[in-house]
Amino acid sequence: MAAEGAIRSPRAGDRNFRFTLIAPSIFVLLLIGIFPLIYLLLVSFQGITMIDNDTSFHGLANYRRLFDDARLWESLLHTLIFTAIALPLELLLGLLMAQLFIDHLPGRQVFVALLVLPVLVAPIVSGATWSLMFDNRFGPINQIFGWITGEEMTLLWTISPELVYPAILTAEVWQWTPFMFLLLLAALSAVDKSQLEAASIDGAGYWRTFFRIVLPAIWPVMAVAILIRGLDLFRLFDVVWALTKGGPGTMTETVSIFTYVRGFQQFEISYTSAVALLIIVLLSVAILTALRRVELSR
Amino acid sequence: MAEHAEVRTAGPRLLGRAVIYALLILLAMYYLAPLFVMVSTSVKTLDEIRAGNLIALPAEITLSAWAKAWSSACTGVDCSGLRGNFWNSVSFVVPAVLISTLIGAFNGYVLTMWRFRGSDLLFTLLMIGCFIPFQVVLLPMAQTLGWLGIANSTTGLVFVHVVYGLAFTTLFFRNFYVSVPQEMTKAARIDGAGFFRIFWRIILPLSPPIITVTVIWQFTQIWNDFLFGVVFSSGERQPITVALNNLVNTSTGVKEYNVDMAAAIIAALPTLLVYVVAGKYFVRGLTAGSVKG
Repeated sequence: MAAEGAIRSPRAGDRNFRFTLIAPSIFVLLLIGIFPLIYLLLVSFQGITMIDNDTSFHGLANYRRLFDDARLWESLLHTLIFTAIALPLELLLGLLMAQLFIDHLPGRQVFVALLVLPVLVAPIVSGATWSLMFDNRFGPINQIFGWITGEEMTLLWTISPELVYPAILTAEVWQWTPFMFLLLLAALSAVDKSQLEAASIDGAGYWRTFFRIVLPAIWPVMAVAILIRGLDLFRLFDVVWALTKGGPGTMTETVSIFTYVRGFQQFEISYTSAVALLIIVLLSVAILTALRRVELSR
Repeated sequence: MAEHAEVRTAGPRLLGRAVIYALLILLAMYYLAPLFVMVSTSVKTLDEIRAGNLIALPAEITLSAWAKAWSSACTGVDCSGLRGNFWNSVSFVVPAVLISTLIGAFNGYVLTMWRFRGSDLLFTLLMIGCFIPFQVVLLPMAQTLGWLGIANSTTGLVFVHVVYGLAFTTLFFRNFYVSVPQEMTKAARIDGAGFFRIFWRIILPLSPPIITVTVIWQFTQIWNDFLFGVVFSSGERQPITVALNNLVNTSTGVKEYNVDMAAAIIAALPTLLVYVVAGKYFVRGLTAGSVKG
């Protein structure tokens, strides 16, 4: 069929080519879009666990379990806490750094080059490094606190309930603020200089200029950066896993860790499918709300 | 900012500068300290680390921790270092990067130059693919790999990363090709040039910048991945990120901080190397992906 078309007119041949080429993408869409939904839906109504490959119809049993599972809702809460603290911190710190660097300070180039490193290294590498930084016996963080307080510090940063969140957030913000910084620096450099000069001549102060001219100009980039980091934080896994494995207990367990533990360590396949579907629903609602916000504010 | 500073008097200006530099020094410490500790710890002896000052420069430099991390450190029961896992990573990252970039280029080409009914819809759907959280695809993907008979194999990891990376590579190429004037391809079509001829003769010669950006982006993403590696591979087949995590968290024996850090640097080296070779493209990739997307 394809050969026949190719002989009659090159156009028809091209048409076949392009569908052949686009086919992998359609396959991918099916594979990461539609197939998982169908698979998860089917499996979530069954009772598959590690010891029991029970594919009979269990009705809504797994969904009913969702509501009683405190550990699941806590993991959602932990994820929200990480996101709610890390995202604004990364944004503000990144913006501050971009503002500082828009002036051509001495050493700017070197510093920018070094700042890219955290974004480049694997989160698991960053996690390994920070677990040494926070080491209770030899870690530099305790050492520095020791210098400040004048007595020896042996704080258990990755074990003490009141210290694990600051420790994880420090590593997370360390790694991803430079991402915000790089994007915002590019956006700030693209702001129309003549507008800034005009504002300065009109006697507008720093903050006024920032909110009236700079912020609207960089907002599209900022919105995308927030979206990307927000979604990334929602699936936060590596750095938490490297530092605390979700502990102490399940205190820092995120949704990703919960899903991993339930699905791939305890092999509660059916129940995890129900969890995954719940995540899709929650995330869709969150994204749609966020997009509507952005659209309205334009 | 510079303009405002000039209008103000010298006093606040000096104070402003002092505040700025104080901030910069603090930020520099926050950002550079871990990098410094990582490198200096990796070349120290264990005795020196035990003596307790990780912030100090190494008294004597030794590469024994590096050698051990590479070829004889223990992760679990296996004591052959990270060497094998390093090459595991290379063996699935390279094909995954090449394949996802190639298909992304074709996708971008078709979606901009050979539009068809539903091509915009297809693109929108692919973009949603960028945002699907990992947690959701893990179970169905494990099932798919099982059905295809490529579970716990290099092929399986290539497959997973290609599938998951396609949305991004398509986005990159599509956004790049959108700015190529349609007249160029139209003229070529009137001259009788076909689909592949136009791609080879017109589109590909324009593409090196976006190919570089995409390759660097995909390389860092796939090399740095941990979750897919830990879920879809086991034992000897694990990528270096998983092995590093096992090494650092091994609870048996003496904790060798210098070996941990040497291993961490080894795991980070390929991405750093890519950055040194083509750093400006990486930053461009970050900004291109978000500014245009």
